[in-house]
Amino acid sequence: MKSIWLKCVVILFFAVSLTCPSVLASEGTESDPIIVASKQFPENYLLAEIIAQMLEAEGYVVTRKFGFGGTAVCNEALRRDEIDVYPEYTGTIQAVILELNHPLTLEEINDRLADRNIEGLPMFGFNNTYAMSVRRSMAEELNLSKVSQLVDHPDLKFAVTHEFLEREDGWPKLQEVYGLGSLPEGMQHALALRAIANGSIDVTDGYSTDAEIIEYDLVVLEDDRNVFPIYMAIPLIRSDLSKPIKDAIAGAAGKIDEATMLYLNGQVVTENRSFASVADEFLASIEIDPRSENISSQRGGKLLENVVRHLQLTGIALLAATVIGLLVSVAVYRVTWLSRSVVYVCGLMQTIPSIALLALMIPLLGIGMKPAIAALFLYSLLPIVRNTVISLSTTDPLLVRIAEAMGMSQVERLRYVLVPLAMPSIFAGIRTSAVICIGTATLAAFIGAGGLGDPIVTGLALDDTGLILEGAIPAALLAIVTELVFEGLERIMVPGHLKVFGSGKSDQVADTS
Amino acid sequence: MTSDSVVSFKNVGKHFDENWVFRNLSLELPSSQVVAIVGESGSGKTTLLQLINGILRANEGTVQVMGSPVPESGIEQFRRGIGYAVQGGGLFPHLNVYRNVTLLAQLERWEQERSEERYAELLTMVGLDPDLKDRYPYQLSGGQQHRVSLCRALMLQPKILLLDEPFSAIDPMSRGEIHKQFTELREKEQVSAFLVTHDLREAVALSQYLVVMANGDVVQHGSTQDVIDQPEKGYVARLLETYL
Repeated sequence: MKSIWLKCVVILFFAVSLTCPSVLASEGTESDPIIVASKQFPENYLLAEIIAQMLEAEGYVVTRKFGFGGTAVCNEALRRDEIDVYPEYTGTIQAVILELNHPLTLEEINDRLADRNIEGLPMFGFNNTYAMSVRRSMAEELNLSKVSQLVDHPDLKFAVTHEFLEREDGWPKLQEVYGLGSLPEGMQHALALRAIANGSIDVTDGYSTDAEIIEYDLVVLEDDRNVFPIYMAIPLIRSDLSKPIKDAIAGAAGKIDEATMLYLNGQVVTENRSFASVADEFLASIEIDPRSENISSQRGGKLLENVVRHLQLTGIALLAATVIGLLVSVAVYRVTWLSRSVVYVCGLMQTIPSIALLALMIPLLGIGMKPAIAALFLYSLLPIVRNTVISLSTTDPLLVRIAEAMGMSQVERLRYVLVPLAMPSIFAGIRTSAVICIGTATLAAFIGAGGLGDPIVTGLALDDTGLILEGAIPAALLAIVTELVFEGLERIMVPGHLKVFGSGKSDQVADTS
Repeated sequence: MTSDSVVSFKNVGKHFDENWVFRNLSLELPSSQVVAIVGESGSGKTTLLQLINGILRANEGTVQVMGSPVPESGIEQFRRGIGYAVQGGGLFPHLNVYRNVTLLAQLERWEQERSEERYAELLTMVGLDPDLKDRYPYQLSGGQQHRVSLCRALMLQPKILLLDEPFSAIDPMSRGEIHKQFTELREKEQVSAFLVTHDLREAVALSQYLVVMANGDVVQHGSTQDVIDQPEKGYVARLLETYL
């Protein structure tokens, strides 16, 4: 039995080590491509794609790792040299990365980032900050163009997102500086947009370069008393990139103003065009020839690759959870307080929201498959450990006593009596874990682990149902196939006395030796 | 009948939590016989039995089996020399008849041929068809389960056999037959059997030596016939009157 465990560990080790990044070679070549990342919203994807194409235009080889789950993930990945560049906003750098509450210039930002090997390149040219917007028709009718004018129209109805309502630099500050009246309603953003379009509300919050501003024909009111922080978009890079690479990345500096960004966002979100073709069109307009072969590349379209990656993620995590879960269960099941504690700890893992667990893994394991597998592993433990511990510790005490009285050792009792009797329950646990794993693995895309979450994350960012389904349907099918496979396995592994009465070769089946 | 003792208790005391089951219990039990230990529930008879194979450990005194104390280490090997069968059979539900009976032989790495021969011999002796081998316990009658359980306990040809109410769940009709088979089997195997039962009639029918227990005390012990002929104290006399 020992040798089986050993084999599992060795396989696991190799599977994990395969995912490690290879040693550095010359940057921007086939063996060491420049890794361009993005966060998971359309504008960031688009800016990342623009950066990628500008690099390709200069002849560099680029790997795209788009759709990371937020600032913390991107920043940590950058710091750990797992990515080379991603688009970021000055306000975010100041507040989230540097944790300061006063605005900084790019120079000040770079001074403070220098010791982290991170650098901001010159700004793209637009400010994507909070924006109060109103219907164009109403703005024209009331001659509204600035936030300060809102105070003259106390009858206008406000509805803002809950986050905006709570944030210190959101509604509270706005109300204080502009002397605005009563508390607005809290409303989910998408609903607020529909409400403002049909006239049931008049003013809502949003971002100054949101594609919806065009789609719903809204006007952004000027923040004439400078309440909102400044969120200038910049490429954030590893500062040890070579000068020519930095120059290539900075190729669009100062060339994207709010109107341009609004238009480009609209092309992707409203017109459903691919990031590649919109980026290509923009670069052509500033006379950069992308000479990139993958302009035609569709959104998504890597089904097989995604499925394989998904299976790798879940397979390795599940294997590890099964091996370690069983070992731990067997080690603790006899001690009530210990086994309870273990089950509670495993339960605790389940209560950590998936995204948070993935984010927690980054400082430990970086980005990519490793942290994703670790997180999935932790999620898979509970059903396996709980089922195993419970079924081992509730084995008929008479049978346990007989096995002991017959002169079976601890290991023999486990192997010939306890584990076979617990098999149906253990199997049910592994099966539950497998399905949880397949579902949760879609979130691994947030930390660059790929898999079927990739099209889902991109699809969510773009509100593209087709793309979401491209990930969701295979994931659902995988879950079903997994159920079927486990049903088959169960038939082979579960002790004979639990099988349907009279099924033929039960003797061989029950033989665990 | 030999008089040398196979199991001896010297000043043995056993307690669970704060409650003493018995103290200062001394007893010599003869070999190559059926020793029946009778008494009401709670009298300590099962505890006495489980001290013999070390499932329970004495808190005071010593328990000697075949001349040496119940070992601390190597208890597994020690127990394999002692067969054990309990009420209800206690067969492993996930193993078929053959695997139930031959499990210990497998652990002892017996050759398959030897296992099969012994298996067939045992099943035949208890009046079962060896072809039942592929059946699972749930596919057997209660009586069949008890017989298989007995075969399992005797597989390794132990010198000692411990039986804890093994026949009490069997209907009275088949009990007579299984008693007869048990007696033949025990004599053929030359095993010293220790039978715990609350059924005095069963004890008298099967045993040559009788230990009567009450409230953690051995009230009387001696050859079965002697006990029946000369019940020592009021309790034993009453017991015999009630049951026989």
